[in-house]
Amino acid sequence: MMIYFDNAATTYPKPESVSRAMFKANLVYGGNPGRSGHELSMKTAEQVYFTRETVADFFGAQPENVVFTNNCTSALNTVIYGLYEKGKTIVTSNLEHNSVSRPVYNISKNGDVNWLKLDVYDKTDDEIVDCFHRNVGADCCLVVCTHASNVTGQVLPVERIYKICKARGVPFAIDVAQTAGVFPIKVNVHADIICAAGHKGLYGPMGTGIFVLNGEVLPRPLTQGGTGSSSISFEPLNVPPDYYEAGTVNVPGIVGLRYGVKFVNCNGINSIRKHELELCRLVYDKLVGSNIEIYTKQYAKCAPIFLFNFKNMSCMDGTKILSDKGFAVRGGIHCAPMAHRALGTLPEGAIRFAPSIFNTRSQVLDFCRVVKNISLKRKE
Amino acid sequence: MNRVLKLDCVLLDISSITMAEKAKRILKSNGIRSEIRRTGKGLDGCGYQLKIMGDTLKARALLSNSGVSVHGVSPCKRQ
Repeated sequence: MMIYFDNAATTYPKPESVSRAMFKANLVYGGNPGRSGHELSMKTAEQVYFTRETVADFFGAQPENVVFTNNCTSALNTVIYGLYEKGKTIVTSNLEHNSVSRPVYNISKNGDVNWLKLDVYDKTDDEIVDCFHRNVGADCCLVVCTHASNVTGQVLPVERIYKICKARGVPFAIDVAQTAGVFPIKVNVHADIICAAGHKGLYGPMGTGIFVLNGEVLPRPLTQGGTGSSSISFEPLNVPPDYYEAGTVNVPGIVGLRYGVKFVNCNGINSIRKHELELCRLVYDKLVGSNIEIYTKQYAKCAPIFLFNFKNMSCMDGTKILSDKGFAVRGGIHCAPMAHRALGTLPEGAIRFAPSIFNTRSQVLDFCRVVKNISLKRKE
Repeated sequence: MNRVLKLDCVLLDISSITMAEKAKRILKSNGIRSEIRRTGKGLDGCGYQLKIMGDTLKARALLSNSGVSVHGVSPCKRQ
């Protein structure tokens, strides 16, 4: 049985309640929600709403401002394409995942917008806030940045950045793929718009994502189509969530996501974070001084990620050897080339260890023992 | 002169299924029974109606205070 430490890519295993809920959804909630009006359709719509309500409560929003997507990437794409304005500037950090950097690049490459990447790597909160303070202005149509790097775990002071954006009337969206379910995050406190994966720290199924609006900043929709409302008009009903949810939604995924969020609520965000950070700290303490390169810094506030490489070995080879020995970790660029550029780990990347609530100290100690053995063999 | 007609059963036109579900939950938590129906009388075609049974004036006030937009009101038909 493989020991899974690749939870920053997607959490595994999922809580049993999530799998049971998805099974039941397929079995019982078979009508198309919001479309048909018969009892099965209405019961399914009610289930979708229950998840909306649970997620809204989790992020301090109104249920109608919770929009379901396929993943965090589609959420971020909707927000970026829906808020850019020709001739203006989009501001990001230099730790962004490709789910932010690729759509922003795509808009900027033809000169439609100017892309300003702020260097936040290894900077203090005050330095980062000062950098945003100096660069966010009237020429900006959007500030979008990660809450925590999926490569280094560095957490950005988004609450303070949001205050700057709000004061200057610039929409602020955050990518919480690595922090939802690990840090408390509220709309209107941390950002205007929150984009999250459903399948990571929220323990929902893969193929689920969300964005949460504050009801004031409304991006243009990325897709148009049937919503089950105002169907005579070619113009969709321009209120969330219908505005953004064209086409049939992923009902089993959405129902499963509700049980994932309930699981997080039951365990408590602070307990989950404490457990995962303790496991990262344990890896650090056990491996520091070994024949490996450690990139993770011990920040005061950090997402549960530990990044390393074996000396004199490519990260892909290291990942393969660890896989052969029963450990699932992720090697490579982690879809975040700018962060690896800042770290100096291009073009190979590095190996990422990312625990979940299901991992134990004993698993981590086994992992450290194996890593040490591999590194010693490389030294010989 | 405007007259407020107090009925014990009304149909409220609501634009989306999400807002209809929200309305239903608000009313339920205040002890007012309601059910959602699909209708062709929405803003531009398909929409939803909330059939409210009970104190309909209180129901409308609750929905208004919660930001649920009601686009039309009609009495329930006798069956």
